[in-house]
Amino acid sequence: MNLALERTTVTFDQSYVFLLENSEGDSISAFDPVDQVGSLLRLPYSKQSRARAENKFLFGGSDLLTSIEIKSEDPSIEFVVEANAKAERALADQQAYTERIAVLRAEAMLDGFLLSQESEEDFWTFIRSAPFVRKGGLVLMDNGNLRAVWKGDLGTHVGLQFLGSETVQYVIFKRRVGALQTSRVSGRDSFDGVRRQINAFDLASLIYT
Amino acid sequence: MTGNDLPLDNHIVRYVKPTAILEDGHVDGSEFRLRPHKPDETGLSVNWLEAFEPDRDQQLASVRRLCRLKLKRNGRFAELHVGTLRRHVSKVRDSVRIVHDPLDALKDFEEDPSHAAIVGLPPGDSDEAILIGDMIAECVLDMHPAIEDHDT
Repeated sequence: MNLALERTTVTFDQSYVFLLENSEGDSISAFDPVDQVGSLLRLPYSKQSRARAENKFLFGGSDLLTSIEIKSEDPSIEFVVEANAKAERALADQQAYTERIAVLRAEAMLDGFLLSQESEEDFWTFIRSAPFVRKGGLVLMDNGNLRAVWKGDLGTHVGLQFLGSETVQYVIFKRRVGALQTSRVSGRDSFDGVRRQINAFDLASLIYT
Repeated sequence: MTGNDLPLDNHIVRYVKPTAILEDGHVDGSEFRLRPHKPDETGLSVNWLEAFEPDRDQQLASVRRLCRLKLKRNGRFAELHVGTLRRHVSKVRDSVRIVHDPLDALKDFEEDPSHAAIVGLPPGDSDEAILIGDMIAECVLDMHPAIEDHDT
């Protein structure tokens, strides 16, 4: 049987037991395995039977009291769920960046220097140039430019100073597991150029999800 | 003592302003480079802790008292080991030294016998400067509050 796949949050009354039908038409109880509220159900059943169960569930008129999570399996839906989670995280990260930049801007003003608008625009362009960029650390340099830093294990990190005109000054430290020496490079390049550098060091996963 | 290398087993601190402290509390390497807009700057100001009698709290209190920078509550002093810093940075640049540079008393300031400088660094706007800055940041042992609560 091709396994269905979806993560669905529903609410149910523990005292209410309804029946699901599998693709062969046999009745099974969806909630038989549940021994406590909030348990995760992993029941293999067809999309057709799932839809039927959901309809019954949603429109059956029962009193719905308790939230549980039903996890069924269907690779295509799982992909969508994962993409949604990534999108939510990306939005949260962008909000965190916005707040961080506001703090840095305020601190800079107190210290008598300004955040470079061109650098900030470049930062956002870079962050939004890929669908899912991990949250990095962010500092404001005394020349007014933003610098983002993504850190990994063993001192591995990528630092990007946004210079404006879609140019970055990059620093890449990479230490491979088992290696005694750390590889270190720095330079200036376009966004595309620095992406190639990051890929060459096998560090794309440090920045992109 | 002016210009003498600090003993390798001693420690220094550098004031780090809030904008250079990452969200995880670590100092960013950009704080350990010469300032490009001050081309006459030849060294990074630091304070030599062992210029004062132990213990460490007392040494830090002396640094806070004599520091001529405007310290901020959310700023930090980054502590580094002299020998570790020199050894680490010498992997890419062997001219870096940490030298004693005591400051004389001025009208509004006491003399500061702990002032020292990291010298031999590349120009602040160079690509090598930010790389070395990140290497120095790797050597930070500890971050101390720039202002103790009881200081205010």
